[in-house]
Amino acid sequence: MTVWVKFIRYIIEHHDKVLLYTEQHLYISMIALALGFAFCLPVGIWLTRHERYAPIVIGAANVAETIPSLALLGFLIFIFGIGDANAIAALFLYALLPMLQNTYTGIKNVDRSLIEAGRGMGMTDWQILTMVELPLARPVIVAGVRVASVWTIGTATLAAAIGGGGLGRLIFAGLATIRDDIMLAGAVPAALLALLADWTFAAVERWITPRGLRVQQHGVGKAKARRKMGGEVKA
Amino acid sequence: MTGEEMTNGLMVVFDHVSKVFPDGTRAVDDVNLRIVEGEFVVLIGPSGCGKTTTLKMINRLVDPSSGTIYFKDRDIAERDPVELRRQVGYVIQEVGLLPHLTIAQNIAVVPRLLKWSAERQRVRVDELLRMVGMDPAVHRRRYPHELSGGQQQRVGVLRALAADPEIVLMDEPFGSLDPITRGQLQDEFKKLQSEFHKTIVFVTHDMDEALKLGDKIVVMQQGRVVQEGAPADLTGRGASAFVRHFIGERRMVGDPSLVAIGQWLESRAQALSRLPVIDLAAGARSACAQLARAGAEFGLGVDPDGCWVALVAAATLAADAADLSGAIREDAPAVSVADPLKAAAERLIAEDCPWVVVLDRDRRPLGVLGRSQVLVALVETMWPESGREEVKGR
Repeated sequence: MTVWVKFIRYIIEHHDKVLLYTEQHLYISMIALALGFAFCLPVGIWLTRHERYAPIVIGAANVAETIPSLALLGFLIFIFGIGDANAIAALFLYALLPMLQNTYTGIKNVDRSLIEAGRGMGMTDWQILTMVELPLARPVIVAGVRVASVWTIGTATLAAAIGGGGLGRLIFAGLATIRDDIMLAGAVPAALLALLADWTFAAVERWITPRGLRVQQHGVGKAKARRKMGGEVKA
Repeated sequence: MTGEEMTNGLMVVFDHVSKVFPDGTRAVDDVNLRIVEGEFVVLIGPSGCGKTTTLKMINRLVDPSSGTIYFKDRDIAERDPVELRRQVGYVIQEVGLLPHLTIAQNIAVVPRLLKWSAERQRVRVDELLRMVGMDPAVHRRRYPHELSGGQQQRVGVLRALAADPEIVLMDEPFGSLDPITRGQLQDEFKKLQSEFHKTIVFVTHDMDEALKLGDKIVVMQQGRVVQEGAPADLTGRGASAFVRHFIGERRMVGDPSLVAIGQWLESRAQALSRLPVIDLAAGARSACAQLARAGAEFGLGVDPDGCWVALVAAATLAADAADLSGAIREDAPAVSVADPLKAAAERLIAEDCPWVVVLDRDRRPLGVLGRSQVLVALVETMWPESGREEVKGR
């Protein structure tokens, strides 16, 4: 029997377990992502209004990013103890950088002349944000969420290492017992979840891109926007 | 205060206004300006002369460091900038149409901010689009990037006019367009302005544009107003050395492509040969009698409204003819008093005709300008001193 047949058999026999862990996995990732977004959107907007703090705050998010995931999870045990809360906290910190960076840069990259025109026409600061900046920055902001979602789902497998739930349990169990099929039963659904999140947010990105921008971005514009986005995230 | 100011009222007044930026740049230095209702004021000067800062102080995008600006007798410092800006149209060089909104939504931004009803917005947008010859059915739902640069700025201008502001500020609105499109938009805008009599404050660094559009030109240099006046005053002899330098010596001695025929005729009315004006509808007999009475070889044929139709030649006119068709020369060149002198010369050359008919702004014929008179006009305009003497001496 090849490992794939064993893997499929394991999934079928233990589908309740696989489903439960998938559910936990999604729960941990999405809570972290939602909290991260709820934090990053207002903070990112605030930073565009108080630019001198931007290097500090984004720099801090960058530092969180560079800490090895396992070390961060271990470190957070001292604060959150063992379990999902710890994992969510770590994933939250990981999710910050792409979302914060893209919210900030997305708004900063809105053409100054549009903001000037808006102000000149008598828009309040709030109206400039909601009628000009956010609609135009929306695709970039969602691109940040998309990157964060993939990272978060991938890293959530480590939650099992500090007593959290999720598909990582199967991976660690498989590793511990040298059972490829069990390990795959964790790894494959985790990878699929990450892909699914990527596709979903890509669709959202397309859907919320205003029609007036969509046509414009065909060809060079879009390639450029993509490259820029990648650059932002890596930076 | 002049009579015009008394009747029209003052729209904007700058009273000893200065602006010093935090870095110490004195962008605007003790500027005093009076902008009359319905006036088209052009602020012109080299880059960094403070013209844009001056403009932006009117809608409080920039607040003065000292001095007071009045908008309709109220100190604008006491007004809420947001509320003030919604009453002031604003057009910028970069156009600044919101790319995620349709043309209709872009035009209706200020009405929307002012909470007009959807129906009122729609009616207004359609009305404005038709005004510049853009079919609402075609253009309402388009997006800005689907339009050419010239079309975009047309929409930019409509957006500024949407809420029917009394004053429109324009910051080099046609500066980034190609010369042909720019000329077109200038003409269109001038026409719109003559229909609506908005007060316009227009910033440019292009003197041709200023002379073409402005009722009053304000020349600025290093934050100060160095000269202001009607276009004719500036191209005349009263200009300061800076103004002369800035607008170019070429124009100081007169540019036949800028001086209107009517402008030259003001001082040389006798240059125009008067010919009998003949109502073509009155028939051949009447035309014949009129020409004979005036002792003229030619008459200027007009329609019952007095508008120019064609030239009538006595030699080929038979009093008993049933109609005038045999005596009419429809190919006779005609120019308007609003056309530049250069146009008259060009018509003479193009039509190979020794004279050109001059019409007033309502297309009523005033008289005929012969080839030699056109030559005199060109010479006097280009070489005001020497030219006149030569002509006299001849």
